[in-house]
This record gives sequence, C-alpha cells and structure tokens, in this order.
Amino acid sequence: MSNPSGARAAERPVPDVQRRIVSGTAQVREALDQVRLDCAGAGADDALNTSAQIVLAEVLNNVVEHAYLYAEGHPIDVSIWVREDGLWCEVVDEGRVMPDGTPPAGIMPDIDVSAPGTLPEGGFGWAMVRRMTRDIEYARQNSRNHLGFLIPA
Amino acid sequence: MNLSYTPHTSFGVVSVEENRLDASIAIQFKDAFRSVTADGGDVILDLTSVEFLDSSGLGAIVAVYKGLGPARHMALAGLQPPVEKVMTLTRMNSVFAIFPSLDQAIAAASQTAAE
Repeated sequence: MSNPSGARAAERPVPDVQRRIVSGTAQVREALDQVRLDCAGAGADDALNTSAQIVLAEVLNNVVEHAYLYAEGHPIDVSIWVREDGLWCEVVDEGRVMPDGTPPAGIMPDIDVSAPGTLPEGGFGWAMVRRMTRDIEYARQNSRNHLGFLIPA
Repeated sequence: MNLSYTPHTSFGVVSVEENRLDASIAIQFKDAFRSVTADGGDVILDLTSVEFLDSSGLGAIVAVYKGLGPARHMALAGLQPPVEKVMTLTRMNSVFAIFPSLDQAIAAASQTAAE
C-alpha cells in the first residue's frame, strides 16, 4: 500500500492507533507504554513493537526537546496504521520547524574503543531512527510539523 | 529514580530499579550513579529490571562510565532484548563487557579479582 501518512486526509484510512500526548518527557514515557499496548492489540508482534518503542521514543523526545524546547503542555499527535509490511506512523506537533526544514541525517557516531574518554554521549537518536525506519517524509504545514515513516516488519 | 548499590570485595554492583532508563530520568540516573560509586573499584551495572533504554539513557550510561576514569572498568549485566538492540545498533556492545545475567557478571568479576 502507499504511505497512508502521505495521502490526503480525506482519502486515508482511520489509524489503528491514535494518541494525543501533551509535551513533556514523563508524558512521553507514559504514552509509549500505552502505544505499546495499543499496537499489540492491533496485531503488532513483540519484535515490531520493540522497534516501535525505540523509534517513537526518539521521535517524541526530539519533539519535546527540539520542537517545543521542553515547554510542557503542547500537543503531539501520534497515528499508527498497522499493516502487513510494518507500522506506518505519523507524528504531528505545533513546535519549531526542523533545522533546514529537513529531518537530521542521523549519521551513527563513531566509537573508538581504545579511547574511552572520547566516547560520544549523544547523537544516537536520529541515527537509530534512520537505521530502523524507511520512507521518512517531513512536511511543514499550517505551522505544524508532520513526520511520517514506516517501521518495517 | 530508584537505584541500589551492593559492594563486593573489589567491585560494586549498581542495580537500576526502574523499568525504563530514558530521557525522563537520565539526569537523575547520572547523579545517583556518581554518588554511590564515588569510592570503590570496578562496577557492574545491573540492568535486569530495565525493559527499555532510549538514546538519552544510553548517553547517561556512557557518561557515567567515562566519569569512572581510565582505571575503573564497567560491565553491563542482564540486558533485556530491547536494551540489547539499542546497544547493538549503536555498537556500544563493543565498548562494554556484557553478561546475560548479574550472577554471571559477578562470577567473572570475582574470578578476575582472584587472579
């Protein structure tokens, strides 16, 4: 099937999972637990659900940190379509536009085992998202960020 | 943030008593870890209770490991599949000695200490 998050709203099927989250790291933690149950209920197996937890944690925490700059109380809407080829996801927020109007390249940080003092402590988030998703689409519409992607089964 | 510390002869076990080590508790984890490991030798970080680790939690683990300094080692024990997946994806599994269970990590650390 084509990417449901890319289709026009009027044409696309109703999501299997829909959650409105209020911005905040504790709220994201709670919402991830609910989304895990929702996805399992909609037919996602454990392995796919684990991938979804990892990807959504990064995407949602990025919204909290970078789009809303940790300001609490703002909406984040998560929609998920559970399909044979995986989980089609869409995350919408009303925060700041992504830098350069595009999602980060997400290059996995280098690790030099022989020099522990130089190990990276960040930069893993989008690198993991890029490794675990396909067909990432980003659009800025009506002061909202729309991020769509597939977590393949 | 719930965390416990159990001293052994030449090392100590830090057990994270949370089911998620994530962005919402990463800073508290770093503070609590540093306070319980201020003195002592090598550390086993027991993640048996942790069902989920995100990049902030991973960054915090790397930060506390670096904070131990070059003379002290840190091993990880009891990784559940989602935690192991994050370690593998980021290749952090090449940095730490990883043991399936806390018992195995303690046995290995005790043996090293006896040599």
